[in-house]
Amino acid sequence: MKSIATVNFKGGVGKTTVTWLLAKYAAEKKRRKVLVVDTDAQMSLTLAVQLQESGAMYGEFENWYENQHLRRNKTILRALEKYDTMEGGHFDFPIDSAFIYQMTPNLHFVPSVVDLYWLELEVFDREKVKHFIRALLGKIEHSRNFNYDYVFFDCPPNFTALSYSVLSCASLILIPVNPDVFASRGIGLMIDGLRYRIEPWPDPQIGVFMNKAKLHRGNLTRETERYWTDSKVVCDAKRREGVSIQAWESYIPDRVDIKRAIPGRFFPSDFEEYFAGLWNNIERVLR
Amino acid sequence: MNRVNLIRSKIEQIEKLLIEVKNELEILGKESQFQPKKLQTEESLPSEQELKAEYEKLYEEFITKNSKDIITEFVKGKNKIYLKAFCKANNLPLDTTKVSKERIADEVIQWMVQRKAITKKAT
Repeated sequence: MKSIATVNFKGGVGKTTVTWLLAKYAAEKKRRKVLVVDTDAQMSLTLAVQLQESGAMYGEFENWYENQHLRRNKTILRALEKYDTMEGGHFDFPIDSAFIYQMTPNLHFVPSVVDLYWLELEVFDREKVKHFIRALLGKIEHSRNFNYDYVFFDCPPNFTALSYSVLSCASLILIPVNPDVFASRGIGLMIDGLRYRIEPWPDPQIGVFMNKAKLHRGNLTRETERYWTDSKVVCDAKRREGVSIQAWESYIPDRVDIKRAIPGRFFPSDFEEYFAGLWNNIERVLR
Repeated sequence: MNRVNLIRSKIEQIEKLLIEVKNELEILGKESQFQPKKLQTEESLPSEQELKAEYEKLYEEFITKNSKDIITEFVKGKNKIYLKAFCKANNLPLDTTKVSKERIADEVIQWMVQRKAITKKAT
């Protein structure tokens, strides 16, 4: 089971959209068993799932979320609290269908909760929390009912206790950048910050790619190419410093219909070639 | 008399044709004067790789000397054909045929300032 975290401390680069469509692509087109975990208190991904289910004939998600996930207190925040307060090495948080929502046989989902917003005000043992996601993944891996090839984490655009834990054990960190100076700056900021903060640095694979790429007659515009060239300069410099980072030429174009595709029931076929390129790079580095 | 007029009219037609042919020859002559010069300029342009290397060199100088004047001087010292190729090779989104050298210099400076920000170490 490989874990993939999508992160960029710059907001609005398209982390949620990419994570969601990539997970859908893997589950639907590649027949991989996929779990998606929303760790962002903004709950964008959770809302996307809710919209998707409401628009379909099932519409079960809202009911499941209210009556099982929240009422039985099987949220990711509860899991974190249980992990933080555990004694004697026993992490008492059974993995069951109240924690994981099964959208399709291949695509499962752990939603976010709004209380994650206040997570930083709670007092957690930082070193202990660091191993929370690793412990949770261990429990999922050893549960009888759930078996995954990939776990995707949609991370918030800031450094929370939860994202700290995710990034401490991710096999691959995906960094989407946009053709602008702020998003491109995010690569160096993040990598330097993470290496400084996460100790020991787990040396994950890092894949950087252009999201919301501007196209002209089917090719990247000069401006997008220019930003991409400068982003690659950062990646090259980090690689020389020993970071396992790659800048992938596969890109996701900037199109209004990509947002519309998020709550859709199926993976949008118009975007297949772009996500196929991205997915090939992911599987290649995680092989 | 009619015959004389007819001959005169033919002579006039021939004269007109001769003037047209002479004018065309002059135009062709001017074009052929320009062509070798244009070809010569295009042929002497550096390759795309060289133009990219030039951009890198310029950026290094800009960083080392911390001066925008280097870029302004660089742009001033190049002709429009070179600058057009330079911008194209380095994906600078600028129509060099429509803007002044000052504007080109400003644009290059802006991209270099951005690159400095993008590549700056955070810790």
